[in-house]
Amino acid sequence: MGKTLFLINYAAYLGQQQLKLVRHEADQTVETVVLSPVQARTRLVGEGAPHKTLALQHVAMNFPKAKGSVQIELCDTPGLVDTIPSDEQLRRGMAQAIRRIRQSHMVLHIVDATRLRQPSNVSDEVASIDEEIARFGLSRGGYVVLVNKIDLPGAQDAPRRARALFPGHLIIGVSALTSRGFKEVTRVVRRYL
Amino acid sequence: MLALTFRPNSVGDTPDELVDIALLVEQGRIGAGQALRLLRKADARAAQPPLNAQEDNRLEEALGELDSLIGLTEVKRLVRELCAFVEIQKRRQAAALATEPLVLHMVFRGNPGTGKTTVARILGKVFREMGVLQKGHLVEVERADLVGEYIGHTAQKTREQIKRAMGGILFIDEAYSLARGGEKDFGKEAIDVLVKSMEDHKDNLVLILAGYKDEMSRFLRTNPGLKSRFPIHIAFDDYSTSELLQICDLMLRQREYTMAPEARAELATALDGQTGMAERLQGNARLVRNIIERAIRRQAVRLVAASECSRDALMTISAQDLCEALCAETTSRSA
Repeated sequence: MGKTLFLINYAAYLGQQQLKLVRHEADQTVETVVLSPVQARTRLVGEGAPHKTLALQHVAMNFPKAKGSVQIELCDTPGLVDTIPSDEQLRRGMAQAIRRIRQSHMVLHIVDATRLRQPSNVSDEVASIDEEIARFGLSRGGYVVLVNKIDLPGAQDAPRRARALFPGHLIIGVSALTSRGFKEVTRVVRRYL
Repeated sequence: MLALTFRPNSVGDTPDELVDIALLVEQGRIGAGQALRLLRKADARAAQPPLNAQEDNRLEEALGELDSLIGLTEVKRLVRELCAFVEIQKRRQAAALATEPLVLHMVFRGNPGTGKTTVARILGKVFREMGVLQKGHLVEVERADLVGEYIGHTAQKTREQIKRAMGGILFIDEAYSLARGGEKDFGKEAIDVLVKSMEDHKDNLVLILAGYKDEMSRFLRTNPGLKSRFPIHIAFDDYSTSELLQICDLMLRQREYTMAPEARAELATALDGQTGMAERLQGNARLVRNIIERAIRRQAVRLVAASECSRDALMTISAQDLCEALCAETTSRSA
């Protein structure tokens, strides 16, 4: 879905020269690496890199506010899935993510423009994970849906389709790859600061 | 999903419920979707009540402080009434019903030492907890703080005090002194400024005029416009002898002292005004406090000479201490 790429490129967009990437491993250890955005891209989302974020990782960055800036922490969580995975590492990652969203001031929910489902009118129990996150977001506030990969052909109207899927939510079309929509994201974040 | 934290160090305690839910996910007992559903329900349960409960507690604390005052039954009843009124106005507003504007300017009438300032201070706290006032602090002023020395000075000084009191209570002691000097006195100008600002800032300022009963009544009679602007009038009656003794006991308890029975009897007679020794003590809690403090000092003088004294002796005020304190108080008053 491109969460990690969004993390790196958004930090670069805000003018971070160095990314201090803090990984919270499942066994409570914390590992810190300092990378430039280019290095981070090759290391984390480049060819041959693991395609799943298995552990929570966050980057502290300076967010411009008025004439100065405030420090914010953008945290890339492991993905949440509908099913109960048999892999313990995945389950741990999900638990980390759930703990984290509860403690955070804002949740940016990234969905894949190419994988938007039809609006489901099925009962509560079988709602897809994305809709479940959206419902949670609506109840907690400080929640935005980012429809990623709108640079791809055929994804231009994805935000519109997402609006039908997530009624009542703030939806922004972005491209983590080309930095499209980052300005709008910044504007929304500033509102909650 | 990305989680964004604005104050990085504030990520602290995890509520127990959350730990459990996250743990269930980790153990593979529930899926992420169900975890979020559970969280949402937990949040909905937890969202409003605790905050309100805390607010209620602080309000109850302030009201409890009022209740712990001795006597003043009339005042307590009125304050409860006011609280209920404010609360209902809030609920009516929530139900989109017509609401009375909340004008809470007050007149306190009573002799010195009957608890006017104390009640005003507690009211500040109560109003803050009820969301009527932003800060609820008390600014105590008298004529000299408001009235200036030359033309134009008064308005400036008065406005300054009002600015200090914004969001709280402006308590004007002996308010009638503002009208004492006759037509040409600057006090009149101060009244004009006060009247103007109590209208302008009625949302965020409570003005309390305080003073002796008779003078206050005369003052308000001669300024009819003023009287109508103060919807709440509270009379502070003099304390009865038994109430004063209760106050005395309370003060001693707070200071961890006790009074010998003879000393207490002595004080009771003095308070009754039968001895003539301290007739101005009648009904005045402040003088009782002064006497107690004086007696405590007398006791210290008496004990400091002794090489050793028991814990009991350190706590006890003897009849002798009290008599000396009473004499000193009477002479200092008449002097």
